[in-house]
Amino acid sequence: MLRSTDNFRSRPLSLWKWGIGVILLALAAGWMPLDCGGQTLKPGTEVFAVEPSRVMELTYRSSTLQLIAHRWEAGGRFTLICLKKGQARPLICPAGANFDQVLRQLTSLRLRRTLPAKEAEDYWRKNPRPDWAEMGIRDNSQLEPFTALIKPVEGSPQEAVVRFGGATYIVELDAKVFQLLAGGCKTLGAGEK
Amino acid sequence: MKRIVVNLEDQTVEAYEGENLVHQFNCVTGDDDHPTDPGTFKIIRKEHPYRSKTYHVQMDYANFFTDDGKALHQYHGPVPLEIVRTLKKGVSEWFGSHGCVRLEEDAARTLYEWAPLGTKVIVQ
Repeated sequence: MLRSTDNFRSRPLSLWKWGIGVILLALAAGWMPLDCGGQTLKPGTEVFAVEPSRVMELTYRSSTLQLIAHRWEAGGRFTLICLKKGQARPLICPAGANFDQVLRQLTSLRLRRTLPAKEAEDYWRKNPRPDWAEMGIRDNSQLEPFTALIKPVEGSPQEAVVRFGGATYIVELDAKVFQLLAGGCKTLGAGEK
Repeated sequence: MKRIVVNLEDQTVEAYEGENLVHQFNCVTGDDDHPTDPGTFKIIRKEHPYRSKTYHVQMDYANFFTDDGKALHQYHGPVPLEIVRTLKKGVSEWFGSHGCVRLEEDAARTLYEWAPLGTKVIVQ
């Protein structure tokens, strides 16, 4: 039968590690800065980026449209399922060139400006949830899908606001992307220009 | 051509443009149970900020380079990274990450801004 000291000797590394951990935590507590806010990224940096060829699914849900673009194989052709508000049944169509253009833009969100917390909060208050669309992008990795809220910037046809992970950014995005998405199969389907 | 070299023995990350070393940072890589595997990869996804729902940890300035979610990213732990790095190199692998390459905030942000999607990542 092991005595308590024997038991201690059988696990000295584990106890020792915990001891060091506690000491380091105590030391670190004194060194932690009070303001943990990080610096903002340089304009032009992609706050989100993934190769379009790796994307397997894109979802877009606004107050008037639900769109799912899905494919079974990376690099294959997307099928679109579009349900507009008031429609009884969704339209299903193969994706066309306009969809490729939309996908290229949504998979490279290049920063124009980071909204400071106060400005982001004010913007959110003035533009409540129903004004935003919810976007999801799943790629062929094991990573969780990218999800964000997105809306065009009024009066600025080359910009959108995106909100994810607690950050709110103004990014470069052609307003045409939102017009094409709103059209569903009519604008994004194969054969449409 | 840009490339990132992660040196597992030195626990450093180097960023090259052609043959020129443009950035060098200290890092902490995976522990024995979750090693950062040697090999040649490329950045397949960028996201900032990012929170792992698998490990419930913040991973800001994430440059993902493997399909199972290994990334170069900011270290958010309470103990300074330099201390963790020293302990990992000199005391025990136990102080390593779950396979990601952890960096100080400034280093993670610099690397995130510098490296576009597709940048080669060599782990050696």
